[in-house]
This record gives sequence, structure tokens and C-alpha cells, in this order.
Amino acid sequence: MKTPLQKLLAAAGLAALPALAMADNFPERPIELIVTYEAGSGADVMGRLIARLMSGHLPNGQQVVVVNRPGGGGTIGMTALTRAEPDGYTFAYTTSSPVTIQPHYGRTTFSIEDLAPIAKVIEVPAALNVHRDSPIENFEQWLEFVRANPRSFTYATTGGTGSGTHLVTEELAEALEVEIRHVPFEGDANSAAALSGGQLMGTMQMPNMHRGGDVRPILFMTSIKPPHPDYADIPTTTELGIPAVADFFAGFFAPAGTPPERIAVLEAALEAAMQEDDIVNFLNNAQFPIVFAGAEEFGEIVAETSTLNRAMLVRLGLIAD
Amino acid sequence: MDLLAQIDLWVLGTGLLSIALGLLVGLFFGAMPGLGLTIAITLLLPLSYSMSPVNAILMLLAAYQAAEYAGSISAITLGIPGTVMAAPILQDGRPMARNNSPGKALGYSLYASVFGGLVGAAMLILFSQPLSRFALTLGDSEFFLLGLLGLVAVTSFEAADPLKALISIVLGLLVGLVGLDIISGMPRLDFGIPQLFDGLSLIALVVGLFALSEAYFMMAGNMCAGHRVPSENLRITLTWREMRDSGKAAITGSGIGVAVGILPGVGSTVSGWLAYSAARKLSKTPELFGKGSPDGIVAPDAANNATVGGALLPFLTLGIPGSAAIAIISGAFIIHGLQPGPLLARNNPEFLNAIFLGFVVTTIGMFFVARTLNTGFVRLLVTPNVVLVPFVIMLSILGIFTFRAEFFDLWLALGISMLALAFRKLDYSIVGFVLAVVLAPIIETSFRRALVIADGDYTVFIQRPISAVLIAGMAVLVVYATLRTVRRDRAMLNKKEA
Repeated sequence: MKTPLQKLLAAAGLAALPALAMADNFPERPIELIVTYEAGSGADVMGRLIARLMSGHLPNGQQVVVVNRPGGGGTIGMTALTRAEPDGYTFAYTTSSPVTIQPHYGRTTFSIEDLAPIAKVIEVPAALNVHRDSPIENFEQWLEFVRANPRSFTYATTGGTGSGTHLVTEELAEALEVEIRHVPFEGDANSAAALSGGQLMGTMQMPNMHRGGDVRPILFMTSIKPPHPDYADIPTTTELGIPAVADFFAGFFAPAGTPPERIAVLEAALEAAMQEDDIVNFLNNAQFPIVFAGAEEFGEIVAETSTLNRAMLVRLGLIAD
Repeated sequence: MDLLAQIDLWVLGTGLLSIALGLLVGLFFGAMPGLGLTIAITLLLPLSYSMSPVNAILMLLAAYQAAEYAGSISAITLGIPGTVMAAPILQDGRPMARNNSPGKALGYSLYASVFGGLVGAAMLILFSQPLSRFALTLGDSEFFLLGLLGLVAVTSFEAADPLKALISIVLGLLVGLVGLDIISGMPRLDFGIPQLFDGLSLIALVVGLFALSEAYFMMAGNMCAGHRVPSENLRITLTWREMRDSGKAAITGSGIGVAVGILPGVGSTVSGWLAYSAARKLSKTPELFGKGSPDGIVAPDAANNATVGGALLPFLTLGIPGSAAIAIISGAFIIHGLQPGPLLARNNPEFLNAIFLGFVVTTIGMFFVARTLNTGFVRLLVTPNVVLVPFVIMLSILGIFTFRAEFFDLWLALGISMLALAFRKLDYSIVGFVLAVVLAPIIETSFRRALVIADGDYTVFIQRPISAVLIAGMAVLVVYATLRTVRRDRAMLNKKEA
């Protein structure tokens, strides 16, 4: 069935504009969503939840089918995405690292130019933390301490050397002209345990005071904070004007070349899905603030984060300029 | 105890089904000579992807428990141990089956297995919380030493030839280092292959090492030969008095089983024999051993099953697998995003409680399932390899591929299975290899991280009292292994001279 508008357009001889005609019917079959992490992982749970809810907001009642392509630090799934037909029927859910860090190492066959951002749906807050019982009470005291004692403050990151948490903390140290020592960890539970066990003086991760943990923030290095009242008085680098602001996002991408009308359809379905109770509750439980950025804004975030990361990787000597 | 507060009908139903499936598969694979424990767990692993974490782990543990017992079924009825661990059962199980009745021997074996399993479960429930709390105070330097202790233990106990075990371990360590190095942020030994960036797929590795290589071995033998099994007196008949009389052997065996299980890297191949000789030394009638002594069946069987709980303890509390089978089960933990170690008790207490509860149910369930289906399992032993081999290969390929739909993993498993074949033909240690693969990241990362934290000061490894204990433990194991080798070489020399 053609809509009256289409009939009108056809009559006017404008039906030859294929993109417009396609956009009107997209999607005509189920859409494949590549999740770049293992089935059952945190990202997979979130990706599947969003996929289920966005199906209800897609035209023609089409379903979103999740396919897990884990491995390569998330890059295997993104490689598969860039090799897919850019017709809107394949898109991917991933996090910031496979997009804004991994391609700089030259190990991936894709760069951000090969991706069309659709929407950012989550941003994970992260802070520079100390132990709950640490004598360092706030950012000023910390700064005093690290200035007086160069190379004595040890901090854990949750992704190891060259991970996003490492890069932004080095940006902080560089901006404040202090020397602190990085200790690589894997996963935020491990770094939190090392802090509790007294192995380290600090961590760079999502704090866990709201869950009764020992990880107490002194400075958020993301522009957002968890909504919990415990964190209300903790400053962010954005507020203090320190040029060390990270964006640990999770979001959706299509292959570059996907028609913008189809990206708009997916973006609209995502935006609607992110307002559903299931998701809002999920984010509240995780203490993630609600953020949503559409295709255009997300594209700018991706490009900016990627540029900053590249510069820091070069300064750390991890990649050649 | 909030163990019982978490019962929910749906959870209970699916949990019991998973346990039942694990028990049946474990009994079948354990009883079939050649298939054995590790293959049972390996082939069930892929099935666990889509299950809830608790059900997945319980199914695998059920298979572990059941296969530990079922190895005795074929040892007693056929005279061929279904698993390596059941070899000590042969000593007295076979004579008793011939002189008395197979059912009697099977009865002793089953009751001892259940007893040992329950002792293992009790140890887990009693000690996992305190041990986890203690482990949280351990730093990287201690974890490095713990991992190293595991490798030393495998070298000294598990292999016939410590030198070959050492070579296997070094190869395993190399394989375990493949992938991203979090300290430098660079991938290593990945040959630019993106599928290797996160390390080798543990599923492909264990399926290749255990299941595929075993299938090749079976193909090399007589594919059509079936076993002859006795058809009479298979029913389990054991009186209360008979159980009570062998109680001492059951307790000795369980104690040894738990202790050996806790020792990282050493499994029931060792505990069974240790229990057997200990029971003989403690027995009032040592002359009956080898001629059908009940204690000679009870002690090793109790030890085998107590090893399961024992091996689980360091895994759940420290993240260090106590046996090769647990190293395979660690694959299921990874798949479900659960990190074995001290954090498990703190972050997932309900998961741990469910596992403990399920573990007890598994052990008791094993008693009833085995008791009812014993005769059936004995009859199944006639299945010729020509049926089993395609079945094993098909399940292996399906299992590897469904994990993450990578053809690369299939090629990897093929390569690994060839390596395993060479290992087994030349008497290298597959167990040492797989444990080294699993322990390599723990050992390496904690070693290097301890040095980063200490700013390059090597004394960090000997500063704390617990380090001294661990180093002393390693020294004892090394001395033991040396003495054992020297004694064996001397015995061989004497034999030659004679």
C-alpha cells in the first residue's frame, strides 16, 4: 500500500528518489545488532535489553536480533560491522575503547571514518578515588600530597596500560604537573579489592560508596556523576576547568555509508526505547546518569575523544606519531 | 544460615534438572573406559552457555562428582578403570567382584563416593567464607607465590617424569601469555590475528586437549570391539553394618582427598593412591588388601570424590584451580562473567550459597541415580567406539563453534588436539599444560604488578610472613619430587641389575 504522499510524489515524478522511498519502508525485515562482547557480559545484558525495547518502536513492527561477536577487545565485532552492507540492517553496540582507542594502534582494519555513529545511550562515570578511610579528604589535599611526594601515589586502572581510564588520568597528571604511578588492573572489582586490601593508594574507576564499598571519589574525571547523594559534593574536572575529561560511552554504530534516513529511524527508536521504565530502572540501579546523544552529537563526541586519546597515546610512547 | 532461605520453585526445578543431566552424563562418561571425567565436563561446557550461572556450574560439578564415582563401575565390572582416578579401585574392587559379587563392590564404591562427596561439601561450606576473607588481604606478591606453588605441585605429584612435566608447564605458560598484556598495553604472541587478542579461547583449548585427542586415540584402537560385561549380581546390596565397618577407611580417604584437592593443581589421580596406601597402613587386616578388602575400595573412592570439594575450595576463594577438571570448569565461570576468587564470596554470596546447596544435592542425588541406574550403566559399557567417536567429535565441533561463532577456534582446536596427541604419545603432561595455561595470567600479572607497586623492589616477594609459608611449601614439594625421582631411578637401576 502506498501512502497518499507517496502517490502524490509518484504522480509528480519524484518517486525516482530511491533513498526517500526506501526510508519510508525501512525496516522491511529484522535488523541484526552486533554486540561486541560475550553473551552474558554486562554490555551484552544492556545491549539485549535495548534491542528488545527498541523493537517496539521500529516501523513495521520489525525485530532486532542480537548477535554476539566478542573478542579482540571489541574490535572483532566492529570489523564485522564495517564489512556489512551499509543498508541499515546491520548495526552494532559497543563501548568507547574499540572505537576511540584500538584503531590508533593500527591493528584494526577500520578507523572511525568507517563508522556512522547512531546514538550514545550510556556514559559510565569514573573518578579518581582513594580508600574510604584515607587521610586524603578531598581533591585539594590530594594535590598537596602528590606535589609534596612525587611518584608515591599509586593508582589502579580497570583496563590496564593504554586503556581509557589510564589515558585520562595521565592527562590529569600532565595538566597538574604531578607525578603519580599507574598500576594496571583488569576489571573494576579487582582494582577495588586491591584498594580495600591496602595494596594501592588510589584507583581510577566508578566509585562504590553507594554500595557500601571502600572506593571514595575525590575528583570525577567524567563530566557526569552518579546521582547518589554521597557524590553530590565531589567536583568534576569539567567544573574545575582541568583539561582531563573522559567520556566512557556505550553506543550504537552503523557502517559508514548507511543512508542518513535509516540512521534517523534507528536513532528515533533508540531514543524512545531509552525512556522505557525497564531501562530507566536499570540505569538507576547501576547509578549511571541518564544521557542520550543523537547521531550528530555522538559523532562529535567520538571524533573528539578519538583525537584526545591519540595525542595521549603518542605522548605516552605507546604509538608512534 | 540463609542457605535455605533462597528456595524458589522454578529455580529449584531447573536446578534439579541441570544436576540430573550432569549426573547422567558424568556417570556415562565416567563409566566408559577411555571417555572419562575431563571429556564429560568438556562436552557439557558448551551446553552451559545458555543456562543460568548457578545451573551451569551445578551441572558441571554434578558431572565431575558422578564421573569420579563412575570410573569405579568399569573398574569393578570390567577390570578396566573408566577414569585414571579409578585405577586404585581395581586392586580390591576386581577381586571382590569375582569372589563375592560385583554388586557388593559397587555398593562399597558408591557409598564411599557419596561419603567423600559430602565431606568435600562440608569443607567447602565451612571454610570458603573465612578463606575468602583471608584471601582479600593477600596482595599480588602472595598471589604470585600461590600460582607458582600450584605449578610446583603439579610437577612434583602429577607426572611420572618431572622433567617432561616441567616442559609441558613451560609450553602451557607460553600459551597462557598469548593476547593483550595489560601491563604494557600491547598484545603478545598473537601473530596479528585479532581472534588471539584476548588470548586463546579456553573452550577450544580444552575441547582440543581432552575430547578431540581422546577421539583420535579411540580411532587408533579397535573401533568395533565391545566389552563383555557380567549380567548377574549387579544390584547394590550393602548392609548398614558393612558401611559402618569401613567407616574408618572412608574418613581417612575423605581427609586425604580434601587435602590433596586443596593443593593447587593436584587432583584425584594422586589422592586415590595416597588414600589406598594410607588405608592399608591403618587397617587391622592389611593382608586382605589386594584380595578384595572393602577398605581398599572405600578409601580411594571416598578420596576421589572428596577431592572435588577440596579442589573447588582454592578455586572459589583464591581463583586458583585445584585440579585440571576445575580448570575446565573455570571456562563456565568466564562465560558467565563470574570471576572466581576472593571477590566471589563478597559480590555474589547468593551464587556461592546456591552452589554449596546444589553441591550437597548433587552428592545425594548421585547416590539415588547411581543406585537405580547402576545395572543400566553397566550394560551401556558394551557401546563400541564406532558409535562413541563420531558422537564425541560432533559434540566437540558444535561446542567450540557455538561459543562465539569463530571458525578460527575450530582450527585452533584442531591444532591443539594434534599437540595433545603428541603430548600423550610421548608422556608429556596435559594436566600440567592446561593448569599452566590457566595459571599463567595470574602468575605473570601478579609478579609484574607486585614489582610495579613496589617500584621494582624484589624483596616484596619475601617480606610478608605468608610468603615465607608459601615458599616453604614449595621447598617441601621440590624435595619430595626429587626424592621420588631418585627412589624411582634407583628402583629401575636395581631392576636392571637383577
